[in-house]
Amino acid sequence: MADENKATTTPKQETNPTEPIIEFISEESKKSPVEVKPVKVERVEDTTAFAKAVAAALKNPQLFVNDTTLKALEEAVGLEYILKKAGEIDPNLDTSKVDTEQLKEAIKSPGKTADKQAPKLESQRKIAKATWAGNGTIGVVGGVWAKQAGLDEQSQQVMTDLGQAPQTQTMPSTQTTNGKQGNMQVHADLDPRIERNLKTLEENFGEKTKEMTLKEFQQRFGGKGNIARENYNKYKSYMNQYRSGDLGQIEDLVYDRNAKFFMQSLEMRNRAYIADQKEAMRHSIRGDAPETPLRRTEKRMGDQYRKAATIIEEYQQYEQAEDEYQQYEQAMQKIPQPKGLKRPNRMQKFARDIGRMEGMYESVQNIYDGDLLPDIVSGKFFDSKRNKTKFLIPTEMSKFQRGKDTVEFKIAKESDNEFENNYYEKMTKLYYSSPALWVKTIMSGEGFAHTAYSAEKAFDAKMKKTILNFDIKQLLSNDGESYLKKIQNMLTEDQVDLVEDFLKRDKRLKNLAFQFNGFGRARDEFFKQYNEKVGKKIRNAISTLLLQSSALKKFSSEAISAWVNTGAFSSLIDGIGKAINGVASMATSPLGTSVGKNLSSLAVDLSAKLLKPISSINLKSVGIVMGVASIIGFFVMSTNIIVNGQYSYVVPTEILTCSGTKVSGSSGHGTSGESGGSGGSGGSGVVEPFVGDPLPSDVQCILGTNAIRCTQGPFGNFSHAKVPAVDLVGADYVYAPQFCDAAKGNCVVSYTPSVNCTAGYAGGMVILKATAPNGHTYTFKMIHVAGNVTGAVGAGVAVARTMEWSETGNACSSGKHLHLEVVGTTDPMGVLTGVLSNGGFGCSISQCQ
Amino acid sequence: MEDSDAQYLNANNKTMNTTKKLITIITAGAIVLIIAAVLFILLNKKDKTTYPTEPIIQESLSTTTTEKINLNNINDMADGDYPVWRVSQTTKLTNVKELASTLGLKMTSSVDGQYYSWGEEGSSIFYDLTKNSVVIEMDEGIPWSEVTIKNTTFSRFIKKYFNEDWNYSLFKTGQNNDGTTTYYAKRYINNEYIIETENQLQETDYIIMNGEKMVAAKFLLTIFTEENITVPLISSAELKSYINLETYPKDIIVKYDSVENTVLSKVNYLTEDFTTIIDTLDSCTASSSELVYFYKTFSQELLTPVFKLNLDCTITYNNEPYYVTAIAYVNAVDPDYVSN
Repeated sequence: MADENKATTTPKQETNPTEPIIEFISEESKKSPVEVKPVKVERVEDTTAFAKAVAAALKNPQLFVNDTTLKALEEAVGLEYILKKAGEIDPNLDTSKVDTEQLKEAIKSPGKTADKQAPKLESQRKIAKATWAGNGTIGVVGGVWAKQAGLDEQSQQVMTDLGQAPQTQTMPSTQTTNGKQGNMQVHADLDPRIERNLKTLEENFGEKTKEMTLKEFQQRFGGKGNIARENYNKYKSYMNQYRSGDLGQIEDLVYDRNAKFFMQSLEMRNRAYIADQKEAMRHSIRGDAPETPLRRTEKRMGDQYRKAATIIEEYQQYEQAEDEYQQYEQAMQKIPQPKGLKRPNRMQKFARDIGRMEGMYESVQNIYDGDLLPDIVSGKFFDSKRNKTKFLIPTEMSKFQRGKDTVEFKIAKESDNEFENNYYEKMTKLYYSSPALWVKTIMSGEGFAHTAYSAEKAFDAKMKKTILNFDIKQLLSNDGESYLKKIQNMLTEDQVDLVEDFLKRDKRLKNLAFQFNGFGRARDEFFKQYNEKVGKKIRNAISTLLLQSSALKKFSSEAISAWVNTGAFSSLIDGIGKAINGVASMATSPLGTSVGKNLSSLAVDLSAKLLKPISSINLKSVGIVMGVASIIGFFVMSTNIIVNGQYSYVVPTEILTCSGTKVSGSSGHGTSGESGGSGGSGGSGVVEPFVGDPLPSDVQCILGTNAIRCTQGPFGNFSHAKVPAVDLVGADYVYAPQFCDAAKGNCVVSYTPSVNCTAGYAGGMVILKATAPNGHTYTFKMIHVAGNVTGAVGAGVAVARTMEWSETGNACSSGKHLHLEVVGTTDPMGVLTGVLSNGGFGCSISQCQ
Repeated sequence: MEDSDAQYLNANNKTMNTTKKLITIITAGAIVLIIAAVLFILLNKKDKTTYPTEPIIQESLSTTTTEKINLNNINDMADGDYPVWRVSQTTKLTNVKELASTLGLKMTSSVDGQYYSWGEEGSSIFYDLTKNSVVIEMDEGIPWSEVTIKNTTFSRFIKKYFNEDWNYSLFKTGQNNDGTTTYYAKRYINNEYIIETENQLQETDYIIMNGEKMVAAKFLLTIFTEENITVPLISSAELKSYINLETYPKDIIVKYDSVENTVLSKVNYLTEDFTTIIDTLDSCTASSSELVYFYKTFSQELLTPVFKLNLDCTITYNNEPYYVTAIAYVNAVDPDYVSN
């Protein structure tokens, strides 16, 4: 045994200086995006990649440390287990270092031969996904992973140290435990990473530690045959190097990254071994008795430490592959066929690139308030007026200028933090690879302007390498020719060619940018003219027809005039809704009232659908006026719809329906409603219409699809006199909204099985707190219900069932109904029936009595 | 003569030796038999102790309850081994459909696997599959000729319409304002163990009678099958040390009846501060305990033994404490055999 104590005692705890930071980031990463408290780091003294990564993670914790990155890190070790399980790999083989040669041995069945590179490619992709913003983030993600996996403090520090190289320092010459010249003692000025490396070296290779035999080593490190022997030899070699007492050799060992990874992995496997031993000891005491929670914990910890070891090993290979690639690329720039350098595996590079893109996309998706893909495609994500998650906007506006002409285009933001820059640049690239951008470019010239700008930057950087004061602005100014003459003598023949090529290209791109931008300007001018001369006339004609209905005339004349003047379609729909509600409330006969109420919301839907063709005729007429065959006219229409439309991501054949309309509060007494309440102090008595931020397009009515009647509205004459609540009949269940995700915990249910009014039992109460992607938390309070679940719930889960009257009794109600309040608003009907774009749930509910 | 005496003595000795041998053999045989019997009993007993090989999942109780419970007044708690039952996923949809048809009701709405609803003017049947219970409400009533409603009334009803031989304990009768009477019952499992729920009085079933007509009823239709495993109960000493851990499985149901004329006259579910008052629940002391089986939803896989504790607690309103009663359902299974 290397150290008897190691196998039987808990690893010694030591203070981890980065622990509070890691803990903070870990806690923030678990929160919903709206609850995150970013910490602005003004200045970073430490210039290491890790320090910069910490600063970036403190500022945007969830962008760098989130479910995606943590899971990817853990999945990087998962393949080993999957392959073992599938029986394709010898179960005793150490697959933590799978390479082509080992796979040849490992794959037993030729018929099942998997892609030999697959495990490594997969692992490289996953690590890249976990550290998509740059390798420096591995320490932050690794540290948080270790914390959440329950690893001890020292191991958390090991995982936080991943990817960090200590600053080169001369170490104090002191004595090792073998009495030889060495560096065991810790010096106050030492880089703490060196200090930790030294400590690990002493613990593993110091004289007090017994040297392991091959068998003992195998027990801890796993593997068999040549792999085990190779690792054991490495272990012996490091031990001999450390015990040599030669300061130079020990220094080499301290800065040797491979040695560091090896020791760290060994440490983790030691801990796994200890946990296994403990579990085995308990097993021997209790025999085949059922597994106890303690034994399960020990088993789990054994697995977690093994995972940590594998992550370290996988990361080592990842970093090595990255280094090889960079060295090769650098060498290739100087000489076409570098000798002595290993040719990097391009498939692995591809896997890493894919992983990084995946990691970035999924990380952003985790915290973005909206539908990421449609918003990237439509450009909404990059628009500061439409993207509410401001800190995620990666671009800012810039102007492409040649002479007096300018074209606006987006460029990546710039930060003093390389990880943030990495994100900005990647996302900007994504923006300019979007097909929608290139459709939009036909009207704006933006894509060409950006290409010209990128070419200009690249050319400028190239020139500045040889001509110190090269000024590209002067070259591109109206007086560019004289500037060129001025620097001509300084240019080599190749550079002259380079300048010529650049200027030709710039001219071509400039022309494209300005010409296409001109189409856009022409389109805007056309619309202005069209609206005044044609559009208004068409709307006037339609309005005359609409106003023939006396009800519409009475209630919606204002809305119709607004539409005629502005063309705002939503104002017309809103007005018609009010009109129909007005008709309903005027009706006096019971039949009239009932029909009016039940049909009002349906009628609004129908109106919207019926008017859609009118609206499209209106748009089509634009094409006629412009000359139907005009290609430009087509683009005018399509670019507007594709790029800027609310449903820009909807497939053309898809039909979206929105139901309901916002209604103002009304009062009355119900046929089924509260009977035993004493009233409350819930609100002011005035219904303030609810208008919220948009909800995702897949959100459905939380009350299901039944026809629902409102029998008492907010501040009604009866029990709701002071309560902004609604009583609903026909709503049998309440469902968690589609944006709920049990794993994220953004929707939480609490259930009180028994609540009372003054007169007695009122059934149960369920409170559902649902935080939407727009950041708004809807708190639904429901009474007279039986709870079905508690805690975090996922989309569509039935969270409450409206009780039958025989279950609640008649102490507090006169019939089966759902009493529902939306805490924080006086307009629950607005929340329930409002359209998604106003933060409502689009339910069809009759007007309250 | 001496020879014959000697022969006689020899013969006698032989006989005695044979007898002794026989006695020894019989004694040894008896001892072997006793040992074998003891071993058989012990081994047989061990075979019958069918503890679960994997921890069973406790799904019916929550693990986020922060209120503390004082068990100091509880000296006598159930112990030993108790069986665990499986919640069968068999539904009674066919029977409910037949019942609806018998009563002349038409299906009005349904979501497969979640609920089915039948109705006509003044009458309805609602079959909720989240809990697998049916509520029948008939304005006209179902004629029921029994003069007195007893345990067997529930059994007869369930046999007649759902073809099950289940036994019930009728534990409470309540008079309603409209002249009807509600009879509350709890179903027995295996004729021995009581099942309780989160319903108003923890009942599994109720029947509402208007004279000789049954105007409403609610029946739990879940079948519980034998799982052939038993679990040891947690000792009271261990329970005392674990019960107030937030993650220890438990649910507390507060009864607000005692504050109807005080707190509830000012604050009730219609007012904003009702939820605030609920959160003030404190100082819960258990006055008695019993062992029951707690059924929460149709999706729970197992029905496990739980301790039902009757609690005296306080809630605070306007800085004044008010006494309320509550019921706690607390995991009763030895923690080594249960996981959340």
